Amino acid sequence: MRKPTLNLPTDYLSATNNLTLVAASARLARELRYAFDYEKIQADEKVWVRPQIQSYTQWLLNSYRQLGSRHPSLALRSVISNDTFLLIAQQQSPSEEVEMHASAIVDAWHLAWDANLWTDFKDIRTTENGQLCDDWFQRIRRCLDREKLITVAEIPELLQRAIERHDWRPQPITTFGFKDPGIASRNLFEALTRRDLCHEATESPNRIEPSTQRLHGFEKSTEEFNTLALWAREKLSEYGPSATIGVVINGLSQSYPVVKRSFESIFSEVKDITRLVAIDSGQPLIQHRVYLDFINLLRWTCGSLDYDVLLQLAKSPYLPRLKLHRKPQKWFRERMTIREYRNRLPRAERSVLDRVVQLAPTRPDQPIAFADAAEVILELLRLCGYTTKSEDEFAYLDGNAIKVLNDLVLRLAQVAAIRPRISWRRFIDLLEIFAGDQTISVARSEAPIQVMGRDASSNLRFDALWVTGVSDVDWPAVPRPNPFLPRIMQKRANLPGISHEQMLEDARVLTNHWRTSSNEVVFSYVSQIDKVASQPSNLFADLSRENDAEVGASIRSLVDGFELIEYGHPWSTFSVSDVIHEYQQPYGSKIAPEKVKAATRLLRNQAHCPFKGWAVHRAGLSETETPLPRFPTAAQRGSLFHYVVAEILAGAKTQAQLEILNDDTLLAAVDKVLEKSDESKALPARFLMHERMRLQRWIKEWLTFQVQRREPFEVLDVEKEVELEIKGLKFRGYIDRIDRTESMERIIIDHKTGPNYLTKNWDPELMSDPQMPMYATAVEACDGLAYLSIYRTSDGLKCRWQGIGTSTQPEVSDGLDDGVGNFTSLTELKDAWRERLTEIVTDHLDGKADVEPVQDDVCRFCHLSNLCRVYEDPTLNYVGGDED
Amino acid sequence: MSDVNASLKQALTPPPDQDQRDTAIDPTRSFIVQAPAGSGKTTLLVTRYLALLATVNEPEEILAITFTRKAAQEMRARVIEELKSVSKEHARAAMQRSAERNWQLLATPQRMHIQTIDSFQQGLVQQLPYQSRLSLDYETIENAESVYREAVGNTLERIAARTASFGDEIAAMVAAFDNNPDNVWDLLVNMLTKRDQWLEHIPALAGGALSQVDADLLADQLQQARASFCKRRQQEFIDAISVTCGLWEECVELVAASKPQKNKPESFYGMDDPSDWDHLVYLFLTGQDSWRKRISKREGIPSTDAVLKDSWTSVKEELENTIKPEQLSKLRGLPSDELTETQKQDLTNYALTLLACVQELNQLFDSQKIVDFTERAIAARRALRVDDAPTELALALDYRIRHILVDEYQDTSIAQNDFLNLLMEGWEPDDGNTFFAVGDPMQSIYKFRDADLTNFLTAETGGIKHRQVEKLQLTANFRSSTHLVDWCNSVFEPILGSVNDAELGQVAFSKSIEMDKVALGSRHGLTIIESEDRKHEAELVAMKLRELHEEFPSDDIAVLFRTRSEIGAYFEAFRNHGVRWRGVDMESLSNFGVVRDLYSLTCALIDLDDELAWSALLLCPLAGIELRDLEVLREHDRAVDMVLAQPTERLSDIASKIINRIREPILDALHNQHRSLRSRVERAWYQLGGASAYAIHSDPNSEPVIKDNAQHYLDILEGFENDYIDKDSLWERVESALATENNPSAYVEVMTIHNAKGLEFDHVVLPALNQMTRHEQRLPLYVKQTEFGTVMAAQNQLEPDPMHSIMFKDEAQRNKNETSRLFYVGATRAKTSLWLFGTVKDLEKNPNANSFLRLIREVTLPTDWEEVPAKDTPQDELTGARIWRRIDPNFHFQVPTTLPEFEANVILDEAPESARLDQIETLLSSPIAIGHLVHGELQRMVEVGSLDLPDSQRVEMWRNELRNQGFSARQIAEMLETVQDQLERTVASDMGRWLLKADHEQSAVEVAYTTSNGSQNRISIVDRTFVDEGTRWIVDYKTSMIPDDRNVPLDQKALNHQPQLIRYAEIFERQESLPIKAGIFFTDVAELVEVDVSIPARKAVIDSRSLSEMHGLNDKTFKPQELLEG
Ligand code: SF4
Repeated sequence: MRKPTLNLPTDYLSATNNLTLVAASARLARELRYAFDYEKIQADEKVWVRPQIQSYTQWLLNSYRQLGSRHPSLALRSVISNDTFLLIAQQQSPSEEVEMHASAIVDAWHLAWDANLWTDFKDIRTTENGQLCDDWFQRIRRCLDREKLITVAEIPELLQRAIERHDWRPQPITTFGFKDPGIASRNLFEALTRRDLCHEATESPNRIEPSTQRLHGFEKSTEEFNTLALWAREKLSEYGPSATIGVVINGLSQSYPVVKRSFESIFSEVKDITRLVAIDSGQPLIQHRVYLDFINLLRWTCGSLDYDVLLQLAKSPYLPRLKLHRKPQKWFRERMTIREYRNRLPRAERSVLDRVVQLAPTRPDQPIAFADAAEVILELLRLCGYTTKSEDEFAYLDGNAIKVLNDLVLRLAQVAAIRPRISWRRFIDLLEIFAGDQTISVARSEAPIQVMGRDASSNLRFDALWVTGVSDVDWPAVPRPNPFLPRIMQKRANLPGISHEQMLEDARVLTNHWRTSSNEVVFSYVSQIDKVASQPSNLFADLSRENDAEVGASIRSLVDGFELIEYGHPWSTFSVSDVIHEYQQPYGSKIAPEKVKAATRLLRNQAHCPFKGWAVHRAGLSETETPLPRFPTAAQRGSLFHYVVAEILAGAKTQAQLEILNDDTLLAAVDKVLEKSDESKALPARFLMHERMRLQRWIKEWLTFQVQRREPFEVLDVEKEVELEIKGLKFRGYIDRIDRTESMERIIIDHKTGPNYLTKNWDPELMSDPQMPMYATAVEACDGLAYLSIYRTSDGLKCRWQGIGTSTQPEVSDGLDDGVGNFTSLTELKDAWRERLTEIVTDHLDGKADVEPVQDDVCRFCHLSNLCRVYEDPTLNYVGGDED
Repeated sequence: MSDVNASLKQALTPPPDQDQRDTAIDPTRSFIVQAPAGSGKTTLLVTRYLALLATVNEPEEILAITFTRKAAQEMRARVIEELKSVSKEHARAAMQRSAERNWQLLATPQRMHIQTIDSFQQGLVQQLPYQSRLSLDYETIENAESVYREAVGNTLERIAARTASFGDEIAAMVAAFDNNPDNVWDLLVNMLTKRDQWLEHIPALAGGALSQVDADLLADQLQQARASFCKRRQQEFIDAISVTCGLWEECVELVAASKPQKNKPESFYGMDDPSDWDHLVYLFLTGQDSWRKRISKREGIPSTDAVLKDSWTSVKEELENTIKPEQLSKLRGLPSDELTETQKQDLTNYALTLLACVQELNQLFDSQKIVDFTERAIAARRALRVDDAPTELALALDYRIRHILVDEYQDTSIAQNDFLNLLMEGWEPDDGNTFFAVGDPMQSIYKFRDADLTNFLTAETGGIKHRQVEKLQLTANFRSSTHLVDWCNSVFEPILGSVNDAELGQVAFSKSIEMDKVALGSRHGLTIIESEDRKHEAELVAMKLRELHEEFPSDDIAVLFRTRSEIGAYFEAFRNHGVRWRGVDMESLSNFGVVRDLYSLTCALIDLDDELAWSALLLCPLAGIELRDLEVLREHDRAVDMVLAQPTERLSDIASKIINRIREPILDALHNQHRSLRSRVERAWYQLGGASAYAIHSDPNSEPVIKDNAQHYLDILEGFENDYIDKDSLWERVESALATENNPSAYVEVMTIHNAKGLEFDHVVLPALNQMTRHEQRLPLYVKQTEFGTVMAAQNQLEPDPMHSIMFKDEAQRNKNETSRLFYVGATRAKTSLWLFGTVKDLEKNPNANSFLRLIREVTLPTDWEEVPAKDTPQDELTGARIWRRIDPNFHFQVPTTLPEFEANVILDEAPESARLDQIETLLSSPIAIGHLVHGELQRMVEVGSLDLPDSQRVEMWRNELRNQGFSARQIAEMLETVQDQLERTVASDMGRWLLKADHEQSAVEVAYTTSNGSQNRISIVDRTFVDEGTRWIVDYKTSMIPDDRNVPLDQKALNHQPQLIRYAEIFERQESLPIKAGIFFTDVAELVEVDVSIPARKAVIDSRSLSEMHGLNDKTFKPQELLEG
């Protein structure tokens, strides 16, 4: 058991029962209780009366209650929590525009009471911010009066008056650890002292003469934390089980994760680190899954949630009965309401969601009784299995999180006092607001390593102490006066944190305490800020001058054996390795043709890259479903255009017929498509209106382009199904269109919307679009093939042919250009295609899986780069996803 | 490296611009100082700062603004150093002042406000919350891109919402982009990033935060702004040529005489129509913007009209002498003053869409309690714009800002400059306050961050709004060798030109004077390879680097790139030639296998169903499963089972071995959920062999690369603050993070020119001279902030807006000018030698437009070039199948270091306590609240020693409290009735009165005891105890309000509490030896039921004790008052 970090006031041990010890902070009270219990245990006692040790706030509340029980008229009001007060402040904001400043106003309120600024309050109106504050305070006062409420900040003055005017005698107290109490508290203590009801505790003097003090700068804060964790371990080893090791972290709450992790890695064999290390600040509740699952479930009842949040809910260990899909589904939209989601589920799986929907208020914006809202929450949680006992793997931290959550709902209940009815949505908003400043702490008193913020360290003593953050910019701290109270008032009242002089003085006092509170002290700072050297605070000028070399060396020697100082982990011994084996694996396993599901997709993937063909079609690693985006995709819009073209071509088969089409006919085709297609159904009205105009423009441009073709043509087929058998696999596809020209040549045409469709994709060697070659091979009578693309440029819409094979249609192609390699005839090219397609299929059947992207840019749209490691190959010019 | 004598000489000879330097220190005057590369700008700033310190009342009165945090930190460090050493006169004076005024400057250096504009604004808005309308609670985030995206998405969704404001306008705007929201998304995101540059300058928008915006007013304002913009451009031209008397008039006459349709001079009122201006340009410039050599009838001046022709010739000559062709060509294609209906419509659609985006963004900010830097900057300016701002500011800050120093003034944006002006609002003519800006317009390379040269150039010529400033010019270059200074002068003078044009971002070159610095090895080289073979160039660069290092082993060498693209080839060559380099922010972190594998591991651990991640993990060097085996493993339903399930015999031996090896660490990571995610990933990674699986002998750089990048990735992971980790956002962050390789043995630094700004190196290599930036794209919308307001122009293909072309052209020109400056910055980083490399397809032809090579080609002599013919080695063929790597399947992880052993009184291997999640239900429960009141009242009765029932005031107090706990009025009434009823019964009953008697022996209420078993303490609270006739009584009150309980007999109910009472009995037995009786007092019926706590009874109970009883969980209920703590 560790030693206490402070000494109980002299004689306190014996003077139990009726003597109340009031500590300046809850932290201190906790430590005093620990010290008390420690003494008892050391004396081998088994049972003792719990000492009356209270924190100041606790004592104020108790005293207020006691006052109420003796003189009800003096303490009639009920005390509100800080959250409720914040809410009142918000509600009482003079205008909506300034509501956001409520929390600063609450701070100002506390300051004003603590320092008893009221006696000289006239200067409040000398600044605009002050005027706002004054108006705000008045409104708050009126509200508190009306609702018979009181804030904690007001209690000291009230108690003082009760003592002085009404001769109320509370229990006597001893105060502990009040270094510089505010005026209101000081007045209260004085009033008590005059009646001999208050003594200041004198801690039994036990000043330690520190043997060593060191100062050390670290390049990065991670290094600093890792070193101090390692140091703590060494001290623990040195001082044994009763050790008290203190670590003071500047800005502890922000650093919590890093601090926790540093200790976790240094004490890597310890399962439950909280028993060794108590970190005062905890993890913010709102980061914890226990809260996130809870609040998201509630949010879902009154709005839509992002699909990734829904996936998280699906995996929630706290909502075991909710049973959502754990993997993205085809029908997922980017955001979904609970009703949309439920409607997509098969009937059998709907029951829980059905109940959730029933339970949640149908109109989330309508006010309901507060208690009813709370009841709904409880019901919902029960329904989703939230209240079941946790599995072992969800640790104590969860338990704490749940407790905090409990408190949260309870505190929320208090709001009912000022808002008896509340809308469901607002209720959830409030929960969120209240959750904002909650932390889940698992600081255990008995842990030998105590990690705390600066203030908490001010009364404590340790065997060894490490203090971080002593660079010249961080220490002394920068004054942070409250902006709503005019500076002159704050200065006059000498409020804390008002001036540099004061901060310097405070820093001196605390620094002196640190220097004398432990056998050895290490002060540290980060010596590189933005890659520029920073200095230690001037308060350590003596240390850096006298001991620099020795200090540096001593810490160095401690950590030199471990690389962790740079790399954050005691296991990080990197090495140029002898244990790496190299191997090749150009193939997976073979597969029989009858087991293969033939699809043009397979041809394309295998053509793009053998590894991709293998991974997708043999290892089943298709791309993860992405949710349907909020707006129509390029593909959907392309389809719409395709439908319109098909619609037009259904009625007009020849160039002559196309030529005489008028705008009305075009528009009619567009309208027909928009009316019928699934793609257009989801479009909002405004969007649809513009989409109609777009399609009209596009189809007109397209038509003009058709009409301009030099040789007349006839459309023979639209959406023609073709089949091609390769090595026993049957590949099926639909040709957009087959034209026959006047000279009786047949051309296969693929309509495309976009500029990137080029014949080079058909080069048998570097084939990235095997579909057209496949069509050309499958259709006997084919004299040419072409992409007909329409797309937008910065100069307007443009149509373009990219084709091959025929010379009678020079606008379609220049014949066999060299985009596809050197071939003298289409027949020869078709042979090469057939050969290549056969090779692709053979490769697939053989399980070929080489990482060999056919062109650089196929990788850009591939989801497999983390598996195939293409980026590691210097011979390939790998360009990742969204390179700018 | 420089010669000792030379440096000695240099130290002794004052630089030629010494008097300018001396003047610049004068703390009573305001200056703008042009300080070219290497001129010792920081020293000047520091000295002036010190000089000012000696004159002020408080150090806060001086505000020194730097461009980066690093620069601020550097300057502060320099100041402190000077103050500490007090070796210089100004430092001594400053220290003396500090002592006089008791500043304690060295102990509180924060008082010296040397900071970036961002951080100063942060402090300011915190002190002026009312004026800035920014909450103090909001956290400022560095990168708000995802929030912008979201805001734009929400804005676009308004198209669908029938009632949303601006839905029609947004739809119309999107329609102009093919009706495709994706096409506008990036554009709008970009506009949101820069909203401080336009929002406030469209007054109709700035005011109309959430209310309706007057579309006509908006259109008016936009029209006004653009008209003034054009007018000014014309006026500037007139001003420029008016230096020659009568030239402008002659121009007008020529236009009047030659312009078609306006051939009657008497009806020509003078250049009131844009076409007049077009004609003016047409008269003198060719389509390529060069001076016309001849004039003809086509241009309206027939050769027959000798007078007119002569006049043209003389005017042209004059013009050629006075201005540059660009100054004239700027006037081409100006729009007319009035917007057409389409333009009006387009622009209002755009503007309102933008406003809607801003509204959506603000909503997101509010709901997430965050702001971005831009918002804070806007708020800061807003705060300073209110009436009486100077006074409020002074009152809020408690001092007045009297001196402003700005470093890198050329890189300030218009908005930042506005802010600086606002800070000076209220300065009086003779108050002695000063403004001091220093910078080098030739080094302005932050256009992408909205740096606007206008600020510097206008300040130089016309001063700033609130202060007259004098212009100073430094010329001495302390950095580079004489040779390099000369070379740079000769090359960059023609490249940068001699004209200042703020609007087009053009800066005249100003010469540096070398400080007679002779350095060994001072030279330069320019190597051009005639081919597009990047690898060849990379090889030459690598060889040069080796050569330099061999010759000057202790010098620092840098390779500076213009962009990050295509650097892979260079790194490859460095690797092959054994160059040891340190890349600073050159490559995306996602380029590294080690990072990708860590990412896969992370995804696998957070998503047991992520097939891609689990498969990637299995294929990576940490495992190294082969493809055939992966096929088998993929048959598992759940991805995680590939690792967790026992291997089947269908797997190869090696695969089974691997799976068995990796299972342990994976399980460890999956089970220890209470560790942070980073911890788990990190541990698992080490255990899988991460530290050994990557670094290879053949690549000396690989080790530091792995360390740094793995660490960097883990830090990013740690930065994710909540338990929901979105894999996509994680990946986005990884991709946008830049890798740094902290190679300790590196002798070459590789970085971008932007990153090298402000640094210097002995030797600099500038490769890839032919690299160009992306082809100048015509953006659909241009927005420019001018002093007349925001000028906007949108693309419209059906009815093109001439303003749009002008703005496009201007932008292209500005980019071109910035390219020249970027080149200048790169070249001037060198102290001793400079090496340039490039490739070009055909030496006869012009290199890529917009490339450095093009620039230098035009101004250097061919003799300066070393031309290297292309290598005709064949493209290296791919050799066989690729090599996969994996860690030895027998690898066994061993903890590599022994950490100090320790002994602690805690149980190390104990599984964490399980938690109970069943307490939420107890909230808001009226039985518990009733229990509290009754308990409290019974306690009070004993304490006060009176059995009086509570009076009305007390009841009132309760009512308040219950209301405060969330109970409804109806509930409260019922509850109070119950409480009073129970109290009445108790007091009325004999048993009750006996229990509550205050004068019992050892009477006590609510006594808390701590019991200890040596390692664990627990607390028990006894409601009531006393000694009566030699017997210790222990009583617990139960209000018994649980409805289901009603039918249970009292005895039975009491028995439920037996374990608890037994525990209490044990407590007393430890302290005394009195006989003990214990019981439950049911307040609803006022009956005390005795419970057997005797030894035999205890034995019976032990077995049936529930776990929760043992842990005393039921003892504790929530007390609202406790929650007020902290
Ligand atoms: S990323 Fe490229 S190399 Fe890797 S599988 Fe996909 S296509 Fe093949």
